[in-house]
Amino acid sequence: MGIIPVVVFLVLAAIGLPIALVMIAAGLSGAISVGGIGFIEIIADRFYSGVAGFLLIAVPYFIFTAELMNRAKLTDRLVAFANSLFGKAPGALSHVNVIVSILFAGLTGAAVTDTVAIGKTLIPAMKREGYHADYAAAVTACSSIIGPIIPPSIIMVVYAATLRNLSLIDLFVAGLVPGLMMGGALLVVSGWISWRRDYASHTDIKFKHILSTGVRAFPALMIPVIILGGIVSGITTVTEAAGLGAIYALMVGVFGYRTLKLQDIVDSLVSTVKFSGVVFFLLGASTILGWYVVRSGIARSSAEFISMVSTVPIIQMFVVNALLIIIGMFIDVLPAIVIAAPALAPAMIQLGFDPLHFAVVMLLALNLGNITPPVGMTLMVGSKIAGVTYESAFRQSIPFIVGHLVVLVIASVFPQLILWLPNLVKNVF
Amino acid sequence: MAVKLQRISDIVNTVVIVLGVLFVMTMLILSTIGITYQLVFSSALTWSYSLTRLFLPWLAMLSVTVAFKSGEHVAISMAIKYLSPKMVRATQFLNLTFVGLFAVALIWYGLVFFENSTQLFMVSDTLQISHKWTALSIPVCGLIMCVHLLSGVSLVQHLDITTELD
Repeated sequence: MGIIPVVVFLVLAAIGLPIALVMIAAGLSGAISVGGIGFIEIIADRFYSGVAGFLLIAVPYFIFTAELMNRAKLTDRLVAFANSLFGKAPGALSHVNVIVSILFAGLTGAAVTDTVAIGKTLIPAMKREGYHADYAAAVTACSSIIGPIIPPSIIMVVYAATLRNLSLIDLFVAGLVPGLMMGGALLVVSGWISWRRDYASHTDIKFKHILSTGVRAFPALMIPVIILGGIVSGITTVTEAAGLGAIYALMVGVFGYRTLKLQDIVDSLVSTVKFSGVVFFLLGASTILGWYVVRSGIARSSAEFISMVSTVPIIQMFVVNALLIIIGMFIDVLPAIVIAAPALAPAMIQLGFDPLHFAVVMLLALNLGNITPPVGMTLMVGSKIAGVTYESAFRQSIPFIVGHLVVLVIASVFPQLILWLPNLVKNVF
Repeated sequence: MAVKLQRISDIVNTVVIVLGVLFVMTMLILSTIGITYQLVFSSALTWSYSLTRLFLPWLAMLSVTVAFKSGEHVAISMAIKYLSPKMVRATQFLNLTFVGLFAVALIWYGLVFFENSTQLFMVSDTLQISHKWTALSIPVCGLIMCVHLLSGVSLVQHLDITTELD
């Protein structure tokens, strides 16, 4: 890759230009350096191609579903259901926080959205039960990042749309096991800390209570089943399933829970337009930068560089993981994907790694940036809701971050953990 | 004067949001028709998918302008925090210039793209729609961005999500 696009990228990013425009400027400067000023005309064609793919119809649908579910005051029902499962375990609400994040992951798939929805309900409740506020912020933020890994997930749609040679269905299915592993790891950490600090427990577990709260939460919990079930069974395509999920969410909110008013639906639609714009801007820009990246041979150079560091596959994977974690610390997950994926994914595939395995590992590594300084948007939101400093929330997050790192290492070392479910689904359907 | 210019940008943004909402609703209705037909008759209603797809570039391009106007675009603002107010102002004007260049490029090269888009979309056997209709979304997006430049530096100020929670 020429030096000019790199300099353009770094300088414009440093002065705070929107990252999509930074990518466009870097891509165009690269295109001009390859073929002269005339190549600037790729801006229209490439941008259009980046936002017009059929698969991308799913983007506004998934966002709309998430917006509806958040406005349908779903959190209370999910919290009541999760609460019924823990009884006298120390730190019941802390575990409830993790479980609700796993359940929410199947509904929204966006970490910051989950933190706001869950945090606004659970953080005050945890504080009332005597939890440290910074711990409440930490467990909420750290568990919310399960959202983008368990399908449906907007970052997975963006990854598949950016690379175009990976099945989104496979990616969705592949995210399930690592997502549940993240939940398991966080429950272990939450259990250990709660036991040591003697955080509050609740009353005995009663089957009748689990059943009644479960029935109330059931309609909402069917959303991921409808989306994933439809896709995996082949009854619907990804875009159809996304549309079906949105319609079902609307029906549940309006007729089932009766918590969605007309104003909520209008607000959800407006938010859908706004957030879709963020995603489409990045996608259009990434196609312009990607055009240059493909022609510059950066993927080949990256592969050569990684091989130079080590010829041992697992060390190569760890080197790339470290790089991705560093990128994630400074750039939000969505732009980080569209910047890093076109360069790193082909390089890793060239080195012999499975495309699906690497995709999930990459998403896991970049996703960590949501809870690590200096950007750590999810943790910032969690600490704001809890009314504590970002630094103290980060200190409480360290054991949870270690938990996430353990999952990342396991997912990197054992590709079969990620690949067996997509393979099984392919064989069954 | 500045308030009046800002008002023009706000009005255009409201119109674009309404259009975007209508597009999302139309796409959802078309998808629902397609899915229902598929589930009931076990065969695909091809025109509903083709028609839905035609709305996507328009929704995408219009929503880009809305995200931009709302300050929801993603940027790295770490370095900016360490600059003096004067330098911050200077970088904002520089950023605004880049936005302007991007908008003009979208209009200029978008019109070229529009002119060259001669192929047809097959919505159904009897209905074909020119690619020009969707290609037009590019210069229109550029034009709307130009109107938003009237908002001045507020266009390149980023939304702080933690402030929004207050």
